[in-house]
Amino acid sequence: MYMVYYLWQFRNALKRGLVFRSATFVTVLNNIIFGLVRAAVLIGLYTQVGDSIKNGFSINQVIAYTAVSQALIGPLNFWGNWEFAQSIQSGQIATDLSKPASLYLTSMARTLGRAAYELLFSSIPVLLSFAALFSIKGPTSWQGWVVFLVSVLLAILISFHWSFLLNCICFWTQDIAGFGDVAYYAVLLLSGLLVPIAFFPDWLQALSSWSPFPWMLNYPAELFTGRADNVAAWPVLLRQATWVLVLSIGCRWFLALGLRRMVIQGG
Amino acid sequence: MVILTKLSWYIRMFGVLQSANLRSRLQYPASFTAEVAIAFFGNLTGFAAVWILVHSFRSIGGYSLVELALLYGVVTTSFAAAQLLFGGFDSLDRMIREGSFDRLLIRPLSPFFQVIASTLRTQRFGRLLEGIFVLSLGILGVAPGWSLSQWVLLLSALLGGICLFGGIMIAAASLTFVAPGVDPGVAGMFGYATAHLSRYPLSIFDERIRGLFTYVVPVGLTQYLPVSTLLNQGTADSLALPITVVAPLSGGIFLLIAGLFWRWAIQHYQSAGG
Repeated sequence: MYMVYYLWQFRNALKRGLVFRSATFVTVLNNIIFGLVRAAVLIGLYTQVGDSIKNGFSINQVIAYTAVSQALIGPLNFWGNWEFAQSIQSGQIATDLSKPASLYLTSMARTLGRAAYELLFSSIPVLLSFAALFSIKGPTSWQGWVVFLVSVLLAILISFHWSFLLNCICFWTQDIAGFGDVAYYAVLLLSGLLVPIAFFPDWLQALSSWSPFPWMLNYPAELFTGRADNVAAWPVLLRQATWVLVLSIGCRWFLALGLRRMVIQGG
Repeated sequence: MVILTKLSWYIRMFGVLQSANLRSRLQYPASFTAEVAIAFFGNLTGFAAVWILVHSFRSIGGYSLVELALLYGVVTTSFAAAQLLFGGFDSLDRMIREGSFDRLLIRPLSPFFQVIASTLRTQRFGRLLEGIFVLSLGILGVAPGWSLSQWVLLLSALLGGICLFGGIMIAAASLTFVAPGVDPGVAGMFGYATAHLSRYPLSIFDERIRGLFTYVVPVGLTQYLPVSTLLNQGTADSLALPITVVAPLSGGIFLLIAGLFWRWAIQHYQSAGG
């Protein structure tokens, strides 16, 4: 149903990225610089202890983890996307509701289009820069690449649903900047962006793996580094798919609840 | 003399303008408190990352957790204070894009002053409080029986850090004038990246990074050197005095160079017209 419309939204979002090329350049540069800082700290620590493997990561694997996690910031839209909340605030949502297409699927199509753009124009340059500077290896077999890419797609879907849930809060509060900030810091730490989850104390590892956050970043990044060869890939994909399912039910329910409550101003 | 009177006038005006900014924020006390609290707890994730690494690696560059808290606290407090003083540069790109920067140029006041006094971000108080909180943990953890010279050393590290991070912000913002095509988003990240890196003892990095952050961006001299001298109780007193001078001096020189760069770069400003 309305498949053509969603495809059109997807394509438009993808093309919109091309308009803001200098913004992409900044994102790429930013992600590379922070990646280099993170890598420098980890290299220093590995050199200090003299262990070749720490918490299941070799030094090259931990650099690969850093590179791929910095590369995924763009497609995961980690710093938040408040487009939907803004449409609630501005009343634009009334126009969107008058269209026969689903708000939820339209939003998803746009997010995926944006993510596709970011994968091509920010993830690949970041990864290539790190590949040029360090000896990092991706998955060694084509099956490994397929598993990694499926995992990234699931991660993007988890991130989209999480962000959509946050946006829905706007039905109740008018402004979600505070919620957005809290979510930002939670994601920052618990997704494994600052430090891989494998370095966490056991209890914090257990706690975070029951949240959706590490399934957005840490586990897909581990699949890339090959560390996850000891951790089987299927359970990771299964857990990610479960999160997508749970969060999508939550989103639809939350959206229906919010729409019932919403009052459109003006006439 | 004239310069001194002018300077003290500018400092007084800065206080007047920023306290007006602050009062306007305080008109919504609940929102202000919430923003500061969220930024405080949120920024603690940065220290959580240090704590997680210590958990895995036992120590970092020979520093224990409390010693790292001292370094982290000095860096974060200086960085947040510099952001409060020079944070107006964050909106420079918007000013230039919207053309409001032109308005600053026709006023009989230094544009530099007008930019830094233009904005006050509530979240920065949260980061400042977080820095002070972690710094206090560090001081309580290592300090029993600090001599006067050690307290002076701590102050000199904070002063040097504020100058250094302020200099980075000024230099990065000046790039906007020289290379108009470059998105000013670039400007902000150098400060953050430097602040992030200098949370860790400089000794863990390889010599290229150590060189860069000692001779080019002397964060090693303003932050790491005084803190490591502080922690090295035995040698502290003989070395304390020269290092007390080195930290603010190197930060001050960096700030001065950044200021000169700003003066040179602003000559290259071209208005979008209109």
